Amino acid sequence: MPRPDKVAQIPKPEQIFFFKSCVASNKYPGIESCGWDSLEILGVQPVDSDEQTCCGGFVTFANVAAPTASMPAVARNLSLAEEKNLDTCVLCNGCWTFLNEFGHFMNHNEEVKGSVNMMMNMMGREYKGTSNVYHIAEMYYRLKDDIAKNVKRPLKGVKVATHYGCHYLGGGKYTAIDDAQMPTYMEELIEIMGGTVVPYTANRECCGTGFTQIINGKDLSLEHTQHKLDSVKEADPDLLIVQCPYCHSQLDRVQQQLNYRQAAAYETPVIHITQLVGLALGLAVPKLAFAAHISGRKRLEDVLDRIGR
Amino acid sequence: MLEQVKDWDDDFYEKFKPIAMGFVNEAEKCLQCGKCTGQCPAAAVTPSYNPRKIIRDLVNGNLKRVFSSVELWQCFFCSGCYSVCPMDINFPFFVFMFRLAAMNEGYGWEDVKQLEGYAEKDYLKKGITVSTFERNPEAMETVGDISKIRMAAGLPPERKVSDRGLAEINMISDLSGMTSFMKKIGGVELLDCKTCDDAQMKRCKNKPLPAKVGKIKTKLRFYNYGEPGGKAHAEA
Amino acid sequence: MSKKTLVIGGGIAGITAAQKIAQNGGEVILIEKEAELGGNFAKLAFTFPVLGDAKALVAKEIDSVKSAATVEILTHTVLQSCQGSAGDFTVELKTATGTRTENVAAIIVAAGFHYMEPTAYTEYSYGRSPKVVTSLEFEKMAAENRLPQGKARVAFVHCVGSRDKAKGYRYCSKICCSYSAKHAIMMKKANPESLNYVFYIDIRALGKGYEEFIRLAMEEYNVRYIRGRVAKVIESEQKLLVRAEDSLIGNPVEVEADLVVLASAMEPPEGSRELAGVLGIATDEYGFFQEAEANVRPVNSSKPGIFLAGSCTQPMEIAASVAMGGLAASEALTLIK
Repeated sequence: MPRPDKVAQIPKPEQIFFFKSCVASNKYPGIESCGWDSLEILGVQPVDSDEQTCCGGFVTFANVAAPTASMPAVARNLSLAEEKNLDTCVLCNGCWTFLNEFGHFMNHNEEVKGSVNMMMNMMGREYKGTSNVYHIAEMYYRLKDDIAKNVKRPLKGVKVATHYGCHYLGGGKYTAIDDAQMPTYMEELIEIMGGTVVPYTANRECCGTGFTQIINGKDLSLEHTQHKLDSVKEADPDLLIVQCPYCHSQLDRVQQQLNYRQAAAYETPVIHITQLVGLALGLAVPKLAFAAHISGRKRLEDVLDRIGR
Repeated sequence: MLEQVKDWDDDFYEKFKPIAMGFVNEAEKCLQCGKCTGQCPAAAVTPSYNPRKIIRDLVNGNLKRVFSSVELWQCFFCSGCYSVCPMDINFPFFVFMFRLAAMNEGYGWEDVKQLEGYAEKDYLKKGITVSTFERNPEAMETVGDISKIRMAAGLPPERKVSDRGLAEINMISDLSGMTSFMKKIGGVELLDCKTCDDAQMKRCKNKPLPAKVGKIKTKLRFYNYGEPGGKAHAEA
Repeated sequence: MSKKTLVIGGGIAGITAAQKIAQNGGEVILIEKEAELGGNFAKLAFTFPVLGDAKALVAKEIDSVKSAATVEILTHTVLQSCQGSAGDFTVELKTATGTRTENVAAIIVAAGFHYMEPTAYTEYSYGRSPKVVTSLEFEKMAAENRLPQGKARVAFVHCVGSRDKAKGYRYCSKICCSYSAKHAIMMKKANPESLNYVFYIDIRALGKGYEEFIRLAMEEYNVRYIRGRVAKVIESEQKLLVRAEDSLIGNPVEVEADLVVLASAMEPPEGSRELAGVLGIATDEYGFFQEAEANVRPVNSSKPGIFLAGSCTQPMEIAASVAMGGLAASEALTLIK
């Protein structure tokens, strides 16, 4: 169950710094376009900056570089939002944890913050620690009444399963808006938009990306993902909703790989919560960018046919 | 094999804490209850991976076993262990710091080398870690040109990071030692200073560009915590 | 000067204290906030480490205290205020019908304990699945013959709320190891086809007959003991998937269970801090009443004339509560003689 106190802490700002995700931009652009447009519809104006880099997150920094490099990289991205006096909205669980954990760490460690700022100052920037980082899913939950008011394409009869991913709820044991073990806020959003929630056993299991395992330990990664996909398949949802582009990529692409390797038949469309909200808020079909999706394309089309294009 | 307790590094944990910049602590609170391993997705597919045992070795100072293990590189970083830990031990942070320490000792570079490619070719050159490059022919065929999809969605054909942004992350990489570390791992070609603006040029310490270096021999790793298990091994 | 003693709490510690004072010629007012005497003891089906009939045992004690001529029992009654000092306290009681003021020489606090509601343990699906129950609910199920039938698998989970800084208490609740063994035995006796699994971290069964009791569960009743704290209980179709590490082997294991019993922690009685405030005595960091000295003055509170008995001071078993009730009675008697 969502924690009301945490939800209440999320502001309803006029503007918010829109932090883009690498996978969302380069693999699933619909996440980016739907995220942007849906926030606009809900009365929050996203603000961009082409100086933002990707968070660098787990792929780059958790292995190749020590925190001495990750801290200033996080500080730099957050300072862009601070310059505009805005909070930050992210699309990805990885960005959320990465910016939050390191930001939090710097805010509570003056020495580290000081040395990071020495580097920042060389670039003519400063990290103050004033921009709060919010996940777009928690923003949606905060704005759920506005979503309800703006539903143009109700998800009537659409069976939706959820996948929360690890880094938001797990790492956010004390900071996320919901309980790490039994979250329900996405289910609530789905019902608000008129969809039907489909439970499945492996809901809280990791997608299997393990951010490096898909590269370094592919067999383990696929084995785990398959376990998850089997459970999803059993429940047979029309859509599987994720809130992390990396989970999105794993669950979408691994289906195709398993179908190829094992002649299996996984055909569940995976879409990001921004795309689901975009769908319900009535964004034009090209904005949803389903063309970038690999698995379950036919079923996606069926869903569109049923609820209207 | 009989283990000699005198070979353990008794004060390693205490010494490691400050080096790990606050990311490794509270390990001494571990009850060895195994709740972490019970929920671990990595342990579910490869049973020799065991967070509990790694914490135990940290507290006991048996670091040789941790650093030379294959298991250290099997964590999925899902934070599930932290989310259920009754003592709030943030184990993924431990793994994060251990990997760096292990690399210092010459372990695991072949793993990191693959990731280093993302850092070098994508993150530092384009500012975005995951590129549009598609390795899988079927995915390529299904999706087609991603820039067209982006444009149809009302986005610019390509997401670009400004030159200033790129120069700044390269500067961070240079100053923080990331560049030289990547150079050690094997072969780095970075942006040159042409992309810096004048103001940055003035502030920047003039450093020679890193040159490409050859392959590095890394030390062998072992399954130190038990039988590797998993489907792949079962079939082999 | 009053010669009376006020006993707060009608569980086994309070009943024992009242009996002993009465047997030595003292007068007692025994107050209980619930409708019936017996406390947590009365909610059990069996005792341990000797499998005694709990209901019969406690009923006998209740009868005995009820028949004592100098014990006045007031149910639905709580303490509202307390003034004065040892030998001369003025207490105001809120009874079912109104308030009443009494003058007493000594006060014995035997407020008992509370089984923690493990609502924070969402990973165990508590509150979501009707097949995940607390140990107290299991006692009730056993008493009402509602235990699973046939080839059922039952998992008993230790340390739910105990030894847990994040969601519960850091202390060990002491009795859960033994009562979980008791539950597993009860389950096997009620349904010989059942398969029972106990997930433990350490087995703490200290006292005469306790170790033997645990061994009895393992050896005679084929209860499987798996060393590892349960990580997750996942609902799947009609079953519950119980995930844990078998930490003696080092492998994650999963049990497909039909019932999961959570050994929830013993926590201080509800309102213990408020009661301590009214009495002017100290509590510890958790809210248990603080003894003056842990080893040689276990029943003395921080205030002279107010004595402590039973599990309102720390998690303890029935025998220890009875012993403590007796000692508290003898301390109170020194003030009225």
